[in-house]
Amino acid sequence: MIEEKNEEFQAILKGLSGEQTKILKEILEAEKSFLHRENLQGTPIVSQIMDIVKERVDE
Amino acid sequence: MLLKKIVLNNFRQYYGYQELEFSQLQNKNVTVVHGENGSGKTALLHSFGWCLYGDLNLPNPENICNEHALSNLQKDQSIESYVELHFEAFSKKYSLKRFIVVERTNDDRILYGEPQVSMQFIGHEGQSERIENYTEEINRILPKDLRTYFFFDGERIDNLTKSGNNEDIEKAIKSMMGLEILERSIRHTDQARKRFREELKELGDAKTQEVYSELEKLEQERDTYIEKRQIKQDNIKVLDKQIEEREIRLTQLEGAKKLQELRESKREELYQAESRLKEIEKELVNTMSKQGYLAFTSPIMEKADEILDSNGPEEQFVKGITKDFIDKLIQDGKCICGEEIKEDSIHLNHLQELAQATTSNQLINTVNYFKQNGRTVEERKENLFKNLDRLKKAQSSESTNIRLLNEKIQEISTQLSEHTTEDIAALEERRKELSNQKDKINQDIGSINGNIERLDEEIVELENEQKKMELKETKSNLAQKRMQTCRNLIDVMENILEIRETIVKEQLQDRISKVYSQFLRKNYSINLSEDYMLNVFNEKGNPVAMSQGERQITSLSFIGAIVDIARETFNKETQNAFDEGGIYPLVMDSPFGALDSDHRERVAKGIYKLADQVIVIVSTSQWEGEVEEQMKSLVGKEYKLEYNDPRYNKDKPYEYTNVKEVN
Repeated sequence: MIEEKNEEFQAILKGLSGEQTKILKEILEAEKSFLHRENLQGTPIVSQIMDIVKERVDE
Repeated sequence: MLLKKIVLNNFRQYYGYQELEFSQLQNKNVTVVHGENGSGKTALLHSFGWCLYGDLNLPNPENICNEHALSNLQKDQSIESYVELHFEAFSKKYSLKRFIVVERTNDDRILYGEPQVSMQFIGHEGQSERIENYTEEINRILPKDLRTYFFFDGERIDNLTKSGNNEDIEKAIKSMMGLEILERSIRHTDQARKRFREELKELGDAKTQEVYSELEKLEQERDTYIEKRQIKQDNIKVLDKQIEEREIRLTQLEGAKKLQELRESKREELYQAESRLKEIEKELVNTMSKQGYLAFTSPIMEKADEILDSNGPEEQFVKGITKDFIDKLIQDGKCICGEEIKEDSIHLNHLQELAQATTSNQLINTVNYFKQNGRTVEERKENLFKNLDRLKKAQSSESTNIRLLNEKIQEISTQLSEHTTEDIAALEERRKELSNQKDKINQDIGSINGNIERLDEEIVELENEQKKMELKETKSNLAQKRMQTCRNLIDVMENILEIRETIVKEQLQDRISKVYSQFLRKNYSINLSEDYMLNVFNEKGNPVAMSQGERQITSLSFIGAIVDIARETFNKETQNAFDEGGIYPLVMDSPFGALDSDHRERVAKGIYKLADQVIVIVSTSQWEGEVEEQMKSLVGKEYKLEYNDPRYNKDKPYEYTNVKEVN
């Protein structure tokens, strides 16, 4: 079961385009930097995600 | 995180400067601290929490400073009361000090300062660097909401297995296993998608604006339904708890005990029967969708047979001889009877006619193959009917069984309601009321789900419409692309989250079962349910009402398993962006409190394997004997808490605890 699911997981990652992979990675990294804040209010996480997408999708 | 040292200075009953170093050795990873009752074991456990998070979950939490130190304080003097923790995390060495300054004023008043914190780490070149955002840094190293899992009080630990605590368990698992980060990413990317849509709305023409306004409206409506559903689901949890309390009470009342137990066993049978019925219905649907067409093949096959039988190739062609064979005879110029075959002879003409009347093997084979297949189709159709007949009978039998079980459960309820003992009747009546309320809420949830489903369909429809809209403006096009990128990523993340949640649950289930079988004597099995409840079943597969000791072992197995997997994930050679994990210590106060001798031995024997560092704070009586026997070879550091009892020590007639290392 775990092996099967791991294969599914890998298949999803392989199915992503280079740009999508980069955006996903950057979003996760941005989230990690805010993960342990007790309160997310006032953090620019949504704007940061928008910037990540804007940088990669610009034409 | 690995703990190196803790310093207690005039903290609670620890007078003056007291220091404990923790073993970080791989083969002796246990530090044991033992002391008599009242010697400060629980204060020691809570000193970690106070230092890290500023919480002190003890009676009179404002009394941080040691009483004797306070009484020694002269006018216009002040003292510091603090806890200092030295630890390593993410390959850095940290020191964290939380302290308060207490002052005796000139007019003999005691003034307590506000708690202050100073945190440093040792830089690459050995220099000490101050950390200003210490709360965030501490939470990054050891999240505050997970602290009860790493600094746990053995006497309260059994709470984990009580109903209503699955949310805490879910939170811990998600946080430590990297699922929370995906959940947050999905939520925030969706917010980013909506902001792109707002941009698009501003840039678009009237039609675009109309579509997006409608989408926003639908999404808001769906969010409102989701919120309502959450409230109702929370209400169900409360009702479940209240129902459970009444049922537990019924099992405790002599006149109701047997009926309640019978009800539980019938419910279990009902659950099994409903599961079987679901499987049967699933098989029925599968069978019909895969083989249902066979039921309609009869007229076609009959017609084909009729055509082939009356007018088939067998009637038109010469059988038994192939064209190739006759061609060979003509080519050799000699018949099978030995006669020569001459040009323009009647023999040659006859053979040529015969050759025309023969057919290729392929056609015959095809016809034969078709007829053979026709028989196979017939056999499969018969099997389908037999199979459907079997499934229908099983469905009917299970439905009857379910009806009877429901009637039996209903009958038990009536018997309890009409019981001569007033308490029992009242308890059952209340239980029924609660159960009816739950049914009503479940119906509401069903209707809410229907609305959410409808809105989802409308949203998808509208989104498809929006995709088709041609955007003339470059800016609008770009905003739409970005919005779509967010949408696609959300789909990907949702898929990944689902897969990883399954993997994490499987891993945990496997690990908890292993730890549990080592710790528990009985042959019980433990199950982490879909909604993160820890359930224990006996050998017959029935749920178990656990004793306090069994609950303690169950909770310990869960904590051990999660810490172990977090460590494994952290140490994985190839990590991906989704892997979280971490090294966590286990600091336990009285982990053996409610256990019998055999279970103490089992837990003591296996506990050191669960984390890189294990700190056991234990009463002297719990330590001596089987626990010491099992753990002594694993102990890298040992301390004794020496309590000074003012009643017996006339030289020092005040209460305090002294930490003494045992060599």
